[in-house]
Amino acid sequence: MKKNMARRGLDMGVHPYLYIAPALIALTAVVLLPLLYAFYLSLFKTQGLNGTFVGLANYISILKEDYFWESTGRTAYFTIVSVMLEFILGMLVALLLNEKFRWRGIARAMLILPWALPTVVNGVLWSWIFNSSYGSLNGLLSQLGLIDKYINWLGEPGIAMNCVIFADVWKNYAMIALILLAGLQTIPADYYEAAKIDGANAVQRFFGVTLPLMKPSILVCLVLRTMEAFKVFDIVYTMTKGGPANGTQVISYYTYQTTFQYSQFGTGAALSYLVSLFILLMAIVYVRLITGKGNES
Amino acid sequence: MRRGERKKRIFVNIAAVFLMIYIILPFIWLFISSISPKVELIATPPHWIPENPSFNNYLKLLGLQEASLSTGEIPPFNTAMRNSIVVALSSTGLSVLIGIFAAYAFARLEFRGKNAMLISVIALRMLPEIALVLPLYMIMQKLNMSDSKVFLTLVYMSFVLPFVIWILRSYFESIPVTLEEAALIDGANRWTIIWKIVFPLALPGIITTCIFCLLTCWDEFLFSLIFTTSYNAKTVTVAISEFTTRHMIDYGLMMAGGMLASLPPILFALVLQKYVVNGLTEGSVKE
Amino acid sequence: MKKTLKRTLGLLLVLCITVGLLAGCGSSGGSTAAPSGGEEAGEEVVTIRVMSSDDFAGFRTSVIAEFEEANPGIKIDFQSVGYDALHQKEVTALAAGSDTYDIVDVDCIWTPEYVTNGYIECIDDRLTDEMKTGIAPVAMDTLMYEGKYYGLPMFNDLFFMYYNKDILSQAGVTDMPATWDEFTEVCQQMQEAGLIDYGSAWGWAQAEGLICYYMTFLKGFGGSLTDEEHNPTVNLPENVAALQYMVDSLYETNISDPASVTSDDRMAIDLFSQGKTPFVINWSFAWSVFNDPEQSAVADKVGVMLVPGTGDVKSATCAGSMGLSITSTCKHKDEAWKFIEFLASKEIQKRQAIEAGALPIWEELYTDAELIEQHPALEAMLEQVGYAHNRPSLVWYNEFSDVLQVEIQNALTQNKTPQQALDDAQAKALEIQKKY
Repeated sequence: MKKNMARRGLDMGVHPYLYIAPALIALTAVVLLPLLYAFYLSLFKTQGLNGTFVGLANYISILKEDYFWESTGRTAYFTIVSVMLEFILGMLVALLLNEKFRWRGIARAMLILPWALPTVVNGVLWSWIFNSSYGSLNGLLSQLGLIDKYINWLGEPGIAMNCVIFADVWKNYAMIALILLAGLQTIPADYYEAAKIDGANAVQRFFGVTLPLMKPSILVCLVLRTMEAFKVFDIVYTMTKGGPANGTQVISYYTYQTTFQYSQFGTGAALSYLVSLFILLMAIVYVRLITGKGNES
Repeated sequence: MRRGERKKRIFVNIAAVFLMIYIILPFIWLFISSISPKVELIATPPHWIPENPSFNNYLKLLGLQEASLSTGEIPPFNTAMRNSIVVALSSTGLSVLIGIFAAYAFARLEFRGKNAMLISVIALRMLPEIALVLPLYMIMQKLNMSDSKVFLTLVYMSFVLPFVIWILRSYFESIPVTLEEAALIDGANRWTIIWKIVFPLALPGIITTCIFCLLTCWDEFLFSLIFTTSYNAKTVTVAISEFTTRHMIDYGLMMAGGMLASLPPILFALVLQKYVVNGLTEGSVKE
Repeated sequence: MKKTLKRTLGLLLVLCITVGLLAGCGSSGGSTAAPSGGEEAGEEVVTIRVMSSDDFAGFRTSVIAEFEEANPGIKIDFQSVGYDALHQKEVTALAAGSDTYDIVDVDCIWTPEYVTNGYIECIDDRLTDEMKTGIAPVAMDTLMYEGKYYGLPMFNDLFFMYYNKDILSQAGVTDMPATWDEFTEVCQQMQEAGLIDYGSAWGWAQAEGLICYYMTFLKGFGGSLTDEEHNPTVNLPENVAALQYMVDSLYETNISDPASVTSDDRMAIDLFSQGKTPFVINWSFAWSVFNDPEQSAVADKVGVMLVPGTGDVKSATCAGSMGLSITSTCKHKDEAWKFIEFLASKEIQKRQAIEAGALPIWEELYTDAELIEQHPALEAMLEQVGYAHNRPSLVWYNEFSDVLQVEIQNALTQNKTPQQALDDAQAKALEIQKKY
């Protein structure tokens, strides 16, 4: 009886909070308080050491700023194109690695390489490959006779962004491929057999069997990558620093610049809130999607 | 039918070869550049295979060979590597230690506000670093903790800890409750249950979590860029980005630095491959 | 299996925590020792924390030991970062009101911002008569704002035009180009002769260096970025002509390396130092890089000539000195001043000129026989000093500069015409001016 009481005491009431208390305290200290503090900061206009309370004026002036919308647009472009390419490539690779062939084990292991490569190294490596004077891409293309003059890959606003996307895709499709591959392996073979007997060809089998069964993992993959891509900073910092002519200035970089280059802490804090808001919105949309689809099946 | 099979096999093999080339080529170029002397690096057309390969860049970075004074100071790469290791290990260790209990509570116990808290933990995981970097910077200045590994360790928890809770919770939930219930009826207390039953069963999950946390910490850039000023705390990612801002850009050295910084996470992930794949699926698919 | 796993994990966690604890002790020990020096120790040692640009960091580090020996009570904690990261590092710390640094390296264009925001100390009453009369005024102005001085310059730096003697003599060029048009002709002539691919590489990436290059052209074409009342005048016809010249050099006359658009001023010297271009415009530190056989193929083949001009303008270049200032949060201002004084002293300045190639701040050193012997380009460099222009001195310079960089790049990448780009820049500049 006594024991029972004690157990109930353990299971309910105070005890569960003891389990989560350390984590909550830590998260409050390193995330929650800073977030509140950032909101407080975002209500001030800062000039050097002085700040004057301006209410929501920082938010309003940001929303009127061309640079803000331009960089938001660029971030959207980066996000959409890179996630789309990563998904297509990841899916193809996953399908390929699900087939039987001789070096399948090695090929699967190799997929880990780009995934584990630090983002900063990825950026530095590709900026060297894209280097306009000594880069291997220019060297290769001109040796193959495809170009007669070296191209300044990272020097033209239109091209530079796509080069950054290329570098990003080269690393990040691997994660999608790994997840989808694991998903493919869980689909029972008899599903395909049944479809085959029904006379479905490979393409029909893919859209009729594979895709619907994989929907949950595909959606979650896309959520994660979209949100990661929208936060993009490291690779832009190492490859182009937002240039040329702001051609790769994504929103995180813009926020970084406002905060730490111009030391406009108030505006910077307001910007970071807006970025978080975008990401939150995306999260909600996707969570809805997932739960909706989950109910269907 | 047989012909179709054969065609498919040829196609699969060719595609696999292309995939492997696509993956490995940049790595090979990374390595080749790192062992090429500067003259060969900037040769046109490029020397695909260096005529005079040398490991001098590595020796310089590891401080085994003196660099000439006029090239400017080479960042003390060993120190940066050590900082990265220390910060990644301690941040992961702390987060897993704290996170295990929280994750267990979220998976097994009932308490008020559980769902709200869980959702906030997931939301925190989505938060961009850029949103935290300024307030954390101001706090760091007030606490007089700038340029310290301790501070980096603590702030890394802001993204590691939510991840730990999230992923471990789903691992705990995948363990059948019946085992614990049986133990409870036998009169075991929670601590014994966690330590003797849940913990061993969740071990693969915990290992996976550790791997992911370590790699995420190793990869981190923005916090380290803003919160450190010297090699007292600078991590390896920042050290590499600084090669590009020094006035003589030595790509060979940069590539050697890239190699050194990539080896630990890549080897680690390759050796523990099974757990990586598990973790990716668990962490992303299970909601 | 389970057991070994458990053991491995246990080990891993223990390892993590021990390493973490060790790290904690290590760095907390380090950081408590740093701020105000050993208070409990009998002999008080003051630590002065310096944040410096990389450019002359090698030289500065090498003389710290001497300074510490001569001043046993002072320890120098010297840190340096690349120029492009310097402003961010300093301003973030200063704007947060922290005492992270005692001495900061200040570029001439940052002085108004630092002074207005109260980041750095006025040093008028620390200046000696010798400093007031002996240091070149153009250098002294680096850290002057509204008639008051806030630090000492560390070198007298401007953009110099370096040329490769070998290539020019092979091409038979005897008269150095005196105008930008002649410059184009000479480059094209050498390109046609197959001696070179490009006349020059520039640091036209989106960074402060771009403004320095633009200033050089713009002043050469007789333009100006601001009027006397500090109002922006970005789209003057002269300014447009200067930008047009830069754009043409990339796409019409083809004398500029296309990579210029992605190189910063530090990277621009690469091609020249490999003997691939005959000309390059760069700072004084480049001189020592060019003459170091380890990193340059043109050692002892480099000369300095006047930067070309146009019409009435014989020559024009952009000044870019930097200096050291005491921060207002510094707790040991006397000790900090001692270190600044030491680096600015004639002896150290002379050695800096010989070892690192920087033009010294003391006018009397310009005629120093030993120095002239050791630094053969000194005379040519001094001639250029007479044609140096400072970038506008504005509190809102940084934001102005960023807008200008983007718009100039828009022109250089043919996104916009020079006229369009500068019109846009002017409009944005007016907006920024209103904010301050």
